[in-house]
Amino acid sequence: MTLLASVMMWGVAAVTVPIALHFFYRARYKPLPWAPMKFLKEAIEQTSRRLKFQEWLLLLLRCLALILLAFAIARPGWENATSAGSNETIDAVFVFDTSYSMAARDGEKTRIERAKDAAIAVLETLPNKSSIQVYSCSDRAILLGPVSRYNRDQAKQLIQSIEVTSLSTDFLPGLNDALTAAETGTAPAKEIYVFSDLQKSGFERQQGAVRAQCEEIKNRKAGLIFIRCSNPERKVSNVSIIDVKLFATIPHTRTRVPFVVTIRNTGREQIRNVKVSLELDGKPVENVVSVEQIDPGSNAEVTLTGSLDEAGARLLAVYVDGDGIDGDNVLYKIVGVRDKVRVLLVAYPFAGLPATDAGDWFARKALVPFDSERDKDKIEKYFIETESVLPHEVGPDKLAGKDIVYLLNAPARTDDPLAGLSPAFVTKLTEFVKNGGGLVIGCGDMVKSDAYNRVLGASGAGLLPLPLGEVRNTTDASPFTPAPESVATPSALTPPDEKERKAFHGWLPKATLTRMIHLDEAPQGAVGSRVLMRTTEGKPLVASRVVGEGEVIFFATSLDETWGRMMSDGFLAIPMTTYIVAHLTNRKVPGGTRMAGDTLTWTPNVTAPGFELVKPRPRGAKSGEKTRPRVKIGEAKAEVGQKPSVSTTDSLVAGEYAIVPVGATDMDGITFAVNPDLRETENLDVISDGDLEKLLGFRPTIIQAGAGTETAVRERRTRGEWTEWVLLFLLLLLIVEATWAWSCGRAK
Amino acid sequence: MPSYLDPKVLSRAEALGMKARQVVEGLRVGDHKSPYKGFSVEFVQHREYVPGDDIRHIDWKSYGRSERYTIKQYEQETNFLCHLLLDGSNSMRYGRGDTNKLEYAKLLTASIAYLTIRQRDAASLRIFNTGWVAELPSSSSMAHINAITHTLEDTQPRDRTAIGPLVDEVADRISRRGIVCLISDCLEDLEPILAALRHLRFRGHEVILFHILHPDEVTFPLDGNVRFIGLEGFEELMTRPHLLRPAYLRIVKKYLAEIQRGCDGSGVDYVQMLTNRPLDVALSEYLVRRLQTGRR
Repeated sequence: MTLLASVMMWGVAAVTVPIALHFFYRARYKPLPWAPMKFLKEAIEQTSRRLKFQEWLLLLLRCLALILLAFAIARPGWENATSAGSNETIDAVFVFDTSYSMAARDGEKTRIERAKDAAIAVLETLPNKSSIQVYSCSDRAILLGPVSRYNRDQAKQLIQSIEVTSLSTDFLPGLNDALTAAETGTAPAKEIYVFSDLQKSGFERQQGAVRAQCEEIKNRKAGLIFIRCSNPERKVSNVSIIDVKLFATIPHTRTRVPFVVTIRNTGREQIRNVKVSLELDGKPVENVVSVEQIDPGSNAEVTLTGSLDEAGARLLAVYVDGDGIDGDNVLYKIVGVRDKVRVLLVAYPFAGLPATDAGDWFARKALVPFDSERDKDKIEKYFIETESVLPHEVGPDKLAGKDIVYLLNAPARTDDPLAGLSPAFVTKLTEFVKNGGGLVIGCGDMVKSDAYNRVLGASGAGLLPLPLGEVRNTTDASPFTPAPESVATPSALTPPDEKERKAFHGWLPKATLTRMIHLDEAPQGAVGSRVLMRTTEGKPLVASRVVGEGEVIFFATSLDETWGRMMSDGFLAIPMTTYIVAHLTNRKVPGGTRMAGDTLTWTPNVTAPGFELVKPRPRGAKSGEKTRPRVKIGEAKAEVGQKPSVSTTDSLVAGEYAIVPVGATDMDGITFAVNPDLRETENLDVISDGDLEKLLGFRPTIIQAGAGTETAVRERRTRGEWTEWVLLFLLLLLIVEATWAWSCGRAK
Repeated sequence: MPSYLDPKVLSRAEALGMKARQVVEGLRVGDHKSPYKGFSVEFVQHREYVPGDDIRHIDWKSYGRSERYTIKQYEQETNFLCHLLLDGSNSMRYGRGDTNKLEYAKLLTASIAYLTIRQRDAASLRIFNTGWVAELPSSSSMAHINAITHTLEDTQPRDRTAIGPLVDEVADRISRRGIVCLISDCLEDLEPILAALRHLRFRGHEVILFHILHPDEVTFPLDGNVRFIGLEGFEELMTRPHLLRPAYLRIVKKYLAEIQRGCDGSGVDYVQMLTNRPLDVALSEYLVRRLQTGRR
């Protein structure tokens, strides 16, 4: 049992009134001088026992009546009856699930339309002077208004304007904010309405916290009402676009690239005729492909081919059609398309024969896998360009226009000013990496651990992932062997798909080594360092370190045949080099692909008084409309030791976003592809009433949105209360009291 | 006319007269028969002369016929003495205006005194509570009426009452038989009162008890919450009288029956006087009844 207005139980103190009257209040007795007192006394003696009994009983009945009155005013009810009475003012908080599953059309209306209708109906049931606050809730809660919590008209307009986002459901933030908002009101009753399709995943994501918060709401005597907006009689079909992959490790211009789209039926019914289409920068790249059928829970892959004509960050968009939820029917991807990848190879060439003795031969061959004599044309047209230079000759100017630098057996400068990398180059190289360039370091006899640690290590340029130790040698009979299973994923050594992975991992054990430099893992690793591959004995073979926006890949062996066979076999060297180049060049792709709600951050190279977020065109806008909505996001701010950056989380709806300086065109900034949060449709099951009770630990009020919402809400407010029954009992008690008093007053 | 002499009361009562029902001893020839045979107008009998008799009373005519000395005896009419005993205790304070018990009793006392003196009998007045408040000796002069009424006017109710001992005292003090009128509400233990009345009767007095009661005391018509304040020293009692009425009435009825029975048993005239009844009516009714039952 609970008391909805427990403070009113102080009214029980009123029982002291009749008691006080009974014992102390003599003024009500009219004084009368009386002669035959002895008769009176005798009469009292004869009747006192009966009178006392009558009076005590009357007192008891009257006290009981007052207690009952206080009890009735305190509004007793069942323990879960935390509702307001029919006329009591209420601080109502409406929490709208705006995850994209709410856009599902599982009847004549979508779920969000049903939620809006139900909210308006609930609004009508609120007594006068009740307050209302509207929140949207997906994986975050946002207060929508109204500005004045008592302005119902504004609240209605707000409700009508609510739109779904591309986020997934998580009820916790909404419940947290709703309780806080409800408690800021002054009304005696609090009611929190959650308008949602009640997807299981929304409760299960933070199950413990949701349960605790619901308990808290209950303990704070606030009513928690779930308005189920899904149609219980109809299941929703859904196809999600899981992924889109390019069949080109390094996308570059003048190529037709196959795009493999993976779609998944996340519903409970088979879906037929799913149409998949692809757009690149808003232009369809191929005719729509139709998938005949997809069984529940199964994936399907569709390959579409498109031409990459322009270099730069290109927006790839995949669409599907033919299911019940639109929110995940699109997947965007920013693809960095390159015109050329320019690689600087810093190595000692070998003047004599064979040519393979040249320090850069294997790397160059892996980068541009053509015969230098026979395929000159191809080499010229190929998208990777290499330039080789001697370590002691390489200057900072050589880094201009380069994307990747290979240091192949390049000595660090020691006492000899004519040998090794110049300090100016090292300085520029560090800046090059920090600005997003890639650096690959291969060892060799010229690489001295001490010098490297001093010049490129933590005490120098800070480019080495791990301090270098002594050189370790072994024999051909028992070589060092890369361990495929030790390859870090994802990393610069991760193949793009399973097929390539098998091939790559199959070739790795053949790259036997006889010499390698020991990488010292003992000291605390530098920030951004990790081991990408180890030998079978567990020693680090390849390590990487993220420096600024760029990355360094360090091979603890030589990238030629002097120390082993790491680059000897084209079946291993070419894919591995491609992965590394793809990985390093992708780091320079501006913007990127994000999930809805993620923070979009840009570190601009330009200074501007402020920046704007260019949002996707609103739903229903004509595609011809070039102007996209913009929101100001302020100036770039810098943390200590960092470059100034701007960021925003206003990316709740999937689409193409851009951050640009104020007044600049959409293309003058950075572009982001924001995708729907696919967790929303991984499991479309809605939670049953029983499961929800089990999950929360008590039975909340669940009302089906529809024609009966208003009635159900009104009934709920009075259902759990005993007030009327207590008042009825009080009436009966008063009748008994009056009858008894009358009976006692009769002359006997 | 003094205030306690109401012409209306007196005119009705006067016609009836206040006559001693019993033969009482009188000081002078009056309206009342005397138990003492004397030599007066009304002949009663002859008796033989015995030495010592006054020879003036010898009936010489009878001696002429019978040659025996006889003495002629006549019935002697005497005036009677009316002793008025008025209760002046605090309990007599109850009642307002004409229904005030003491005022009613004073009027009754004055009326009886007037009637008595008017017919040339003598009346005395004693007012008491726990002791004697006022005492006027007997007198038959009309001027005595004034003394009585003035005494009555000066009397204020106070103190408790002690009827029994005082009436006993009166019985001892009055040597000559007469009529004793006790005018009181008798709100104390009945036994001493009845014993005192029996004492008076033993002394040969005719005793009339005028029991003065206010109608409230008999019918107990009170309602609401009442704090009863004892007029003669009882503590306060707070109660709702309507709840007690049945018991109260039973007790009063029993009390009245007891006092009536006690009076009847000892030959005392019991006259219940409710103060809401006009005194002339009540008094004349009693006098009529007295005439009907009396010898004269």
